[in-house]
Amino acid sequence: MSEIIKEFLKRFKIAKKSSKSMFITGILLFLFILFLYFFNYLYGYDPLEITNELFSPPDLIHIMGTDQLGRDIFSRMCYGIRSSLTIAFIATFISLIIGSPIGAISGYFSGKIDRVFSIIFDALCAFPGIILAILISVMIGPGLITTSIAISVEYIPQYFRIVRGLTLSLKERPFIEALKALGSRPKNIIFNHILIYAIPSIIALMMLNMGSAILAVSGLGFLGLGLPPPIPEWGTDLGRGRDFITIGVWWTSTFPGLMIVMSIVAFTLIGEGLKEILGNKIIGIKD
Amino acid sequence: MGKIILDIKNLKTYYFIPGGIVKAVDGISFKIKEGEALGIIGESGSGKSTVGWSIIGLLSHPGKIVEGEIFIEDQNILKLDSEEMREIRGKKISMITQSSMNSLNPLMKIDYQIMETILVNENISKSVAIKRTENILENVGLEPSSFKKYPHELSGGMKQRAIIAMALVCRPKLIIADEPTTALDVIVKAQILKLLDDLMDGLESSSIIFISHDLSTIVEICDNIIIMYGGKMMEFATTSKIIKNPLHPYTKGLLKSYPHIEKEEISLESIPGSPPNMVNLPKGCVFSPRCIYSKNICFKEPAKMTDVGDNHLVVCHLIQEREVLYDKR
Amino acid sequence: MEIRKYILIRLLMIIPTIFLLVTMVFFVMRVVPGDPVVSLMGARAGSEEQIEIIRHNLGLDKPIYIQYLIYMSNLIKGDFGYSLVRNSPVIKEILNCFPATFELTFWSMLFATLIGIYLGIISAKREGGIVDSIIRIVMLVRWCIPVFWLGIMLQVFIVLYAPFFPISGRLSPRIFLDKITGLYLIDSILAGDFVVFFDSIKHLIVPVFTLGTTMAASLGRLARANIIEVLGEEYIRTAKLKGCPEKIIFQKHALPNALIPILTYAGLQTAMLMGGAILTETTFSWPGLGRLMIFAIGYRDFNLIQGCVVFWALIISLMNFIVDILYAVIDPRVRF
Repeated sequence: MSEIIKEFLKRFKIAKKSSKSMFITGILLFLFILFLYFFNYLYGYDPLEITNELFSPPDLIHIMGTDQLGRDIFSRMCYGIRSSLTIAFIATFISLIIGSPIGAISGYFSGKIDRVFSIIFDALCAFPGIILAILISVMIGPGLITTSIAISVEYIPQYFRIVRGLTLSLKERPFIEALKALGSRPKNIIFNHILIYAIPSIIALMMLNMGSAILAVSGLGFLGLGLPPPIPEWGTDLGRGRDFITIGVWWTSTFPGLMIVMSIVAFTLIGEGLKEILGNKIIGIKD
Repeated sequence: MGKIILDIKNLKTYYFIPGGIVKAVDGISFKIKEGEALGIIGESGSGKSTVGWSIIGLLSHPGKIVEGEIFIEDQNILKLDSEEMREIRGKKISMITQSSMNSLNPLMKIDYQIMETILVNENISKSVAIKRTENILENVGLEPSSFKKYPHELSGGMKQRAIIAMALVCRPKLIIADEPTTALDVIVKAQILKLLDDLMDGLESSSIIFISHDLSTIVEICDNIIIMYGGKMMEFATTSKIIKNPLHPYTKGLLKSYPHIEKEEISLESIPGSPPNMVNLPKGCVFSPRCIYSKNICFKEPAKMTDVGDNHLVVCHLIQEREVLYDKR
Repeated sequence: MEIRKYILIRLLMIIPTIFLLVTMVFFVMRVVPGDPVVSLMGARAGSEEQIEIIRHNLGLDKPIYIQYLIYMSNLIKGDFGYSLVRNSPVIKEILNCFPATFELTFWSMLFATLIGIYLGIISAKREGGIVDSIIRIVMLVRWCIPVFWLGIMLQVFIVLYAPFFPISGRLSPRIFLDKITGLYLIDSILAGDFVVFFDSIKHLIVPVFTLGTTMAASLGRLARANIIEVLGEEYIRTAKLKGCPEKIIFQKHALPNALIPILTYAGLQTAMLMGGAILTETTFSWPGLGRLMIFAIGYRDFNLIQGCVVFWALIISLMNFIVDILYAVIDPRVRF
């Protein structure tokens, strides 16, 4: 493990300036988002508290205004951080946990297992992500875990592909042969040696997936298929908020979107920066 | 035919990498006459390919020519701008690279890629260009059925022939061949070498620089040989002198490490040690750490070039001090 | 291999592919956890009897393999089932809505391809420079902006500052058109009615811009990355060795090689969108397949949902096929 950290630091030092700044900017943005959440958690309004000040435009009391139930939008936005990031993280984690080991096993043993899994995941890829997410979401109902599962399905093939590719290229290396000669069990080889090498690529992919997952969550929310109200979620609030454009209320639609953009930018910067820093150790990450 | 085509004076090409400066070529000088074939032999990292890329002006990124002059027919090409240099490429100077998977555009047919060379460098009509293309492709040993094929349909040897065709079609004055046979298997290697030999015979006023790490490949073709090590020239002489009377310890070591297909009883010797760290070259002679004859002075300062007679040049202290080394062969 | 032979082979391969996809739809609709009927009924779940009646109407009470046989045999006949909510055959509803999606998607992808590739080329040519950095930042940020939010922001802007400009639908109220193809731009020209023609354009501008720039962002980033990668390939160096001028190297050697995977990607993206640009259509109340699907989901119309997804799968297969053929025409390596 420590070798991986050392390798990362080495590559970080010699990376291009633009890659480093992308990565660092992303990290800073992410920390800022966390800061917002905790700041609001400690000092902000209750995001669920219904008041009489409906549609109050942004001012010094409510810096993002209030919505159709008089709730403080800024606070809802900050609590939305929790919703979006949690779902995105769980979704990414699920796909990682499922996709990576299967990819390693498939790549290591090749043969029939490999072909079966490859076909399954190729077919899964062909299926449009949103449709899958929507259908699953509709079938199993709204909620934190269910939404996460619905979104995760789309990303599983990506982890499968990357880890499988890595495994295939590592399989022939001498040190694996040596381990086999020493009698190491396949389970041990795969998990302790091969998967370790996959970690940098997996992490970079994770960051990029976090970005798309947040996009997916807000998309589902926008369509009314996300977390049930009154849980603050950017997409859901955006979807509701846009009903009031015609009466001139712009703040219910603007701020949720800004939050979405900011968080996706953060993770995309981290992911892209990481991808460039790690160089060509990453095989086949699609956008 | 004594006209000098290429005159390199004290060429220094360095690569500026994050870890330091790689002095890939550190003071190389030589001349080539019209029609001459010069071989440059060295290990990987000796700087031999860099010499080639420096001449043709396509050094890859952190590389820069920091000193020296390169005269092609009395014109200092280092003073040319990129557009003027581009004019020369393909027409006056060309390069035969090692044919790898991707050295030819996968979307273009072979004959088109050759024809493009002609059309880009000369002002002739398409139909004449087509004729010449077919001609040269035949000359390099390709069958007409291959002409309209795509690169991925050709074998390694055929691709190399196509690349040779591209480099020779405009009859350049100077051809640089950078490891053209290295990636090929033995039989094909021999074919390509013979092909090059025959082609060069046909191009009387063209000269060729043949860069390789394998002495045996260039022995047939080359008139003269430069031995390079650690970015510097170690020895220069005619091919037969290098083979029969190598003077530099490195050259001797190189020759001893080739198996003799007939003489079985001579044992193979390898040169002890490993190639130098190009960022941190040894003080003194670059070869000294591995030289079995090295003396104190060899570690302190580099040797100067000595002409032992008849234009046989050696860069070695022992030679410099007139200590001729006898060795039982 | 000849192109004709390749086309034939791919055509034959399409059949099992469609088969596989359509089967997948079948199973996703039924095997995903949760009783389809109960979850589809949602809050309006009635008595056991009512549920059983609905289940029987939808044929969901039969054993699965029989359902599958009925499903497949119907599909082959072109029967996508009957929409209980819209009270008409599913295929009719789909074909009604498809032209709207087609028109939106076509213009958006055309816009996206032209803009995206153009910016990608400029960016790649000036790699490392200020122009490159600016374009990269713009494309990255644009990629991170959800298509529906951009749409909403544009609508807000129009409502506040240009209130007479349309923000939803395909035509203004009280404008009528005789539908021939369903593609309003074409139909209005065929009818010689230029008022309708310009009205259609007005309604297309904002959605096409919104969806188009979203797609342009990912296309552009891909184009840039591909071009830069191709410029580092050996055959580019060979072309330089030949003495080729920059322009020829870029246009004849680099671009064709770089753009092939991009065209593939663009084709696939188009396929995805043709099945229903759900988010864009919802934002602009665009009467296409996407909105139809959301409608179907909202009303839990099982057959309509299933029909839309099957149609989507078919479109994707078709587009994949077209893209594959184009790819084979352009890249000789593929045919062998």
